[in-house]
Amino acid sequence: MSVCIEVTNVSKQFGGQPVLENVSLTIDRGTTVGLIGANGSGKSVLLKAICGMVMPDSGNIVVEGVTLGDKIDFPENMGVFINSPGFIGIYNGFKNLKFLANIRGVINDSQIREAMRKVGLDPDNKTKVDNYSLGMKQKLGLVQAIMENQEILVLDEPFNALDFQTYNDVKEIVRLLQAEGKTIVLTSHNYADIEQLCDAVYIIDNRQIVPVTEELVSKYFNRK
Amino acid sequence: MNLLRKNLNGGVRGTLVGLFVVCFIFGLSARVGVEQPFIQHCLAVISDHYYLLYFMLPVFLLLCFFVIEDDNEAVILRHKTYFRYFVCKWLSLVVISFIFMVVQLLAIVISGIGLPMDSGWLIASGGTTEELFTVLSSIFASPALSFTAIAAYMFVGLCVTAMILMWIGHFLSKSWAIKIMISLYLLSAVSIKISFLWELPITVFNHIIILHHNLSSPHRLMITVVTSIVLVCVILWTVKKHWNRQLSFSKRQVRGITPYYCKELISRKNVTILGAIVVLMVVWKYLQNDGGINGEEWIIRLFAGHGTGTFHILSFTEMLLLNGAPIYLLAAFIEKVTTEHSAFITVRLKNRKDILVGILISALLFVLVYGIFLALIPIIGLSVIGLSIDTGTLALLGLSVGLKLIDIAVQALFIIVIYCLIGQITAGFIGLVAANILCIAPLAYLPFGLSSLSRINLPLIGVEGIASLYAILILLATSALLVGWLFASGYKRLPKN
Repeated sequence: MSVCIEVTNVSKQFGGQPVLENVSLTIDRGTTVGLIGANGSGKSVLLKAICGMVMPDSGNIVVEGVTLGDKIDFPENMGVFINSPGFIGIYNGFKNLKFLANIRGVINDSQIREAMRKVGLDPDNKTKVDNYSLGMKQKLGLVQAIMENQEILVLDEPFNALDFQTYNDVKEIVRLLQAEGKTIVLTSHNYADIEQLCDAVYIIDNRQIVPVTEELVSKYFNRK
Repeated sequence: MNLLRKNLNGGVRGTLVGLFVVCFIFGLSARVGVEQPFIQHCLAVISDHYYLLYFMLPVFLLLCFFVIEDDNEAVILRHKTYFRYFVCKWLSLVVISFIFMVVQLLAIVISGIGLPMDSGWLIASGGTTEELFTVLSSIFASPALSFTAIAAYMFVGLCVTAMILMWIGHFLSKSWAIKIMISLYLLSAVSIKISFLWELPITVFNHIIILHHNLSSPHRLMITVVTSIVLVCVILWTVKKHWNRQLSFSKRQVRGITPYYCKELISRKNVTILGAIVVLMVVWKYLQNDGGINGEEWIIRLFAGHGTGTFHILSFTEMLLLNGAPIYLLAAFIEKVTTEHSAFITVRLKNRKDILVGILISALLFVLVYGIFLALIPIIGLSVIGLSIDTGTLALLGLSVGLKLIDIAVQALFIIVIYCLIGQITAGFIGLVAANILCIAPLAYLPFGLSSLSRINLPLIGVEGIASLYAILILLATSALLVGWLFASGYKRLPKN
């Protein structure tokens, strides 16, 4: 199995406060990796560094053989779902996705429609995104991450604040993406999700990545 | 007949009722303080170009807007050819135009009941209609004949206008047809106040509908008639031969981040805010107007801003509002597109420099939109209060708007630089206000707020300012420095963490 993402000795601090220290991580192509940790532990920073949003103070990140910050700053074949995406609220879902698709210009309208249907969104729904429910917004966030058939997906808390039905829908979509052989980096506050969906799980503890142990899982998820 | 019945829908009927009411009120107001015979009253109302251009014409365009789109295929098929359908539909609009004229004339006639019935010309010196009636009396033997000619010309003009609008509506999408309709209307509305537009041999709606707008120069009527005939021939030919073609302006989708950022920044809400700010300032300056000023003085007051070596809170606030409104909106936009909430957009780019380029281009376009408002709204304001717009006023307006745009660009770049350095957009805005407050010191070359005409050497103001060319050079040099830094190292700090 070939390496898809390679994080080597990455350190990052904000305002003199270290957040990550010599973090190294290797993610193989086609696998799903879960990242867990306490709030403020640095998992989101690591995810942002992997997608180029944060420049590490030291160390380097290689995605699909390309070192970020050399020729490109942002990985070419990556779909990102970090925090709640700030769509343009006055347009409907389809229009938002169309505007996004125009940035790269690699897919057409029917492919956008197909991607929307895949996650259970109606492309002909004229409702403005401002009036979408949280679940619909989450689904729209997922569509933009997958619509251009991105090979690598970075999904930060995709199950957050969802009702039961949407939670199951989103979980099903992740399973579908796994079946398609996508490389997925996932975070969640629910260890059960991570356990069910991921091939490998890492914990960010004390600014460093460590393999998951029962002791750490108990520490972060109150498991007895 | 069916088409006529269909086109005379509720919207059209409601508009006709509105037309009658407003026209009647306008007719009554035209009687106040004026003593003139019945027929001259009717003539005065039907030839008042403020009423015609700012009420009647928009109402007629609105009326056409209800029926501008082609009917569905089933209706068109019944007419055997598209040409026949087009002619039938146009005939229904001719009938609507006739009803429109009858309603209007009825309101005018009723508003004149009770006035003396003298039939000859009675031109009151110094009255608002003196100039017009003098011209008309040299052409028509009696006011009644003049009234008939103006009404008949207007009816024919409305029919031609309806045909033009139907034509635009058929060959273009509805949204483009509306844009073109509005543009043509605005051209008509402002043309009466901009003297050099009168010199040009172009024909707009007011020439087609208002007879006396063609009497200002010897060949004007001929130009309008020839242009209209040619236009009608072109319309009929294209409808007969090329009816199945569609013009489209949205062929190529521009790739890259800039269109996305433009959607975000140049949104309807932001554009409305910009327009409202300029309208507010124009109205505010009008309310401060103590009378007796000309167009140039009006422009100077609007763009006076704040001088240096002194501090007047009101002038400073005005300057800050006029300069700061687009920058505030821009700041909010920059913050939004550079946070983690926009990671899903950013990750579609290749390099950080793309973010900067996207922000700068969309900001430039945004500032240009503001420039259009800054140029157009004062012109409309001048027209409304009845001040003439000569080439001197236009040149001053051009200089003021040009300076203002570069000034705003400098301030926008300054806020981006501060944002890149500190990472707080609020800090950038505070820094900008602080930089503007430096005008307290006698720094004539201070780039912030340098678009203030009170800092520029203009003979009309009598202030010893710097030459406008120096001001432009200072602003351009400052923006070049700021852009240089952003491309050299500022972009590396985007997006913010």
